[in-house]
Amino acid sequence: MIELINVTQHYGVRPVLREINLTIPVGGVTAIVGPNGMGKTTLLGVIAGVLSPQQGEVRIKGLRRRGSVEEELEIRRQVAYLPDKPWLPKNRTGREFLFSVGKLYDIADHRLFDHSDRLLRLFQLEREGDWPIRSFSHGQKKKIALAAALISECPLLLFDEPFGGGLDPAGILALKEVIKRLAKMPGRTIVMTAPDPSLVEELADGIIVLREGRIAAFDTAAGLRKLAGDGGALTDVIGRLTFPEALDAVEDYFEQGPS
Amino acid sequence: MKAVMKAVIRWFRVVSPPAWSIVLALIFYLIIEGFRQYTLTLDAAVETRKFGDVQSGIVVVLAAAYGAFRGIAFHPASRDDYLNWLALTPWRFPQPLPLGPVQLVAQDLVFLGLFEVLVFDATLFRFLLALVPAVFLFVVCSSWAVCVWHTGPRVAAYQMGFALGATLWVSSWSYLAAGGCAIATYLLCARRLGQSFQAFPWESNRPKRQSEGQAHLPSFRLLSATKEEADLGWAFETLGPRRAERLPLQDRLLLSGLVGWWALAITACLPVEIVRPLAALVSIGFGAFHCVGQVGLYIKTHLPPISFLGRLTTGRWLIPSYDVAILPIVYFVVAVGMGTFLTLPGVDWPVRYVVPVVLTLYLVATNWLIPDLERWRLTCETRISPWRYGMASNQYEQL
Repeated sequence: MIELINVTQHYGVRPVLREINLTIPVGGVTAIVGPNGMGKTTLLGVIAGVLSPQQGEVRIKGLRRRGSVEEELEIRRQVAYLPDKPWLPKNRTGREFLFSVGKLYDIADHRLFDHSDRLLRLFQLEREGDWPIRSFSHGQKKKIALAAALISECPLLLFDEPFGGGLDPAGILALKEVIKRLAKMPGRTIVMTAPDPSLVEELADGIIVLREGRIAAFDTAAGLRKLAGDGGALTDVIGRLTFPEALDAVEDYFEQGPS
Repeated sequence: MKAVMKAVIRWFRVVSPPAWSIVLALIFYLIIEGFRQYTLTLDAAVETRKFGDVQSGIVVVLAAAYGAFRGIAFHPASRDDYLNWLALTPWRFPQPLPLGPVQLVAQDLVFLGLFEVLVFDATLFRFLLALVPAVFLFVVCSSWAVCVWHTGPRVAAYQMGFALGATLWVSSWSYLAAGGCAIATYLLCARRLGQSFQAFPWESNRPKRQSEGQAHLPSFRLLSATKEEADLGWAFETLGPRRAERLPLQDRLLLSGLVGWWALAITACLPVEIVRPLAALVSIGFGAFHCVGQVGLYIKTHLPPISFLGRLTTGRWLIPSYDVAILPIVYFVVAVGMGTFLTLPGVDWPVRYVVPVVLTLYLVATNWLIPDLERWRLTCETRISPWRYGMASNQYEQL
């Protein structure tokens, strides 16, 4: 279980997250959605431990983030975080990189051999897996970074915009299926951000809608539709929840006559 | 004749440096020799002597380089693959090491003799004749001390380090005393090296899993490095469950004391008229470099959790858990102030004592009173930044 208790985060003067109280249950997929600049990446960064909130605390499975060396290390063993723009060691091959990440998380060698083969096959990188990462395309880099997160076998995966970064349709399809299947495994939790709600509708068990640093809603897709009073596409529903004045703004625009 | 040549080459190759380094040193030496011979044809005695002194200086440097090579290159601790392979063999001290001896052998005398001949030929400054073996032995023993420190037991390495400093100090009193001290130091170092080999395979050689921690020591893999320990990129490297242990407090304090002891020994060897400006300059430079390096090591990927403007406007002027990493700057300023005060007219402490004392106190403070890097990184309030990977540091920055 991930708990955020009264979390406020700001880098300078203006808070990006404001008094967030949130509990994400173990198991399943939780998506964080919202317009640009509303704090999706910041919220995920706070959960991942990249950012220390100015106020409040984060607890993962009862352990407090940065509470003590032991607590933080135990959390890190259970959490793999994949940022929107990961940096990869360009002179190492994809397979070497996967092995190194696996060893970092104490995965046994025999499991690593097998798992890395399967991951490279999954993301169509069997041939490129033994090439230096510098020769990878943008999308292939994204794939190998995703594979690295998966090889860690962590029960909690935090993905920042996993479907971005030049993933091809085959990669998106593979990742969707992997996320669906992982979410069904006991104890596996996936939290991800997505700018486009339609991508996560079929995956997410819970959707967190952020608006100006606060949680506007946290429910299932059906629950959000009910809350917004809109049975249409999830994108429209999220739009209503995050920017209720959107339709009024359109009316205003046309009332004055488009130029 | 051919067979004799082959036998001689084989005999030398046991300890000789790589052929490319010998050729390089030879070319460099011959270029200087060419200039010297040219000045001889001009009958320019002063120029000839200058070139001869430079040439002799180069020979002393070459002797030091050869000493470092002999002290380290054959030691198994300098090469992972050699060390791991040796640990799997039945090799035990005092059997000869398979890739060549770390201890000095007869071939070293021949190399030293060659250096002496070159110096004798090049300069009239006969002091350099004694300097060549002294520098060679000093560097060899220092290299052994580094190897013993890495393989344990560390106390033996500190004994070697302090003994080497003492030799340096005593050399400022009389050459006879220095010679006696040098012999005693060499014997001590050779004995401690042997004791270190007797404990092979070393405890630190045993492979460890990452989560069990690895000693946070400067890498001693001069000739190889495992790829697993290289960069893992953003975000696995900074957020992975990796933990490095800090040197024990005893080691940190002893190392601080050793630096102070060597500073005392070096300043004792310098003429009084240059001790004051030189010692002040070097110690302030060293302190500044150390202070910036130490703070940089802490904060290079871990930025303050809130901007300076944010601190001012929110009233969080101090963030103790983060700001403790910047303390070396304060200690450095205090140390410089203390050093200046102690040398003021009226207080008048001799500079040659002020520098070691202040330097030691500064290092003790930075080593003792600041939380270790891993603890700080795991528990401080911070904003982890991927800027070291060339990525925009403002990825998370918004006003």
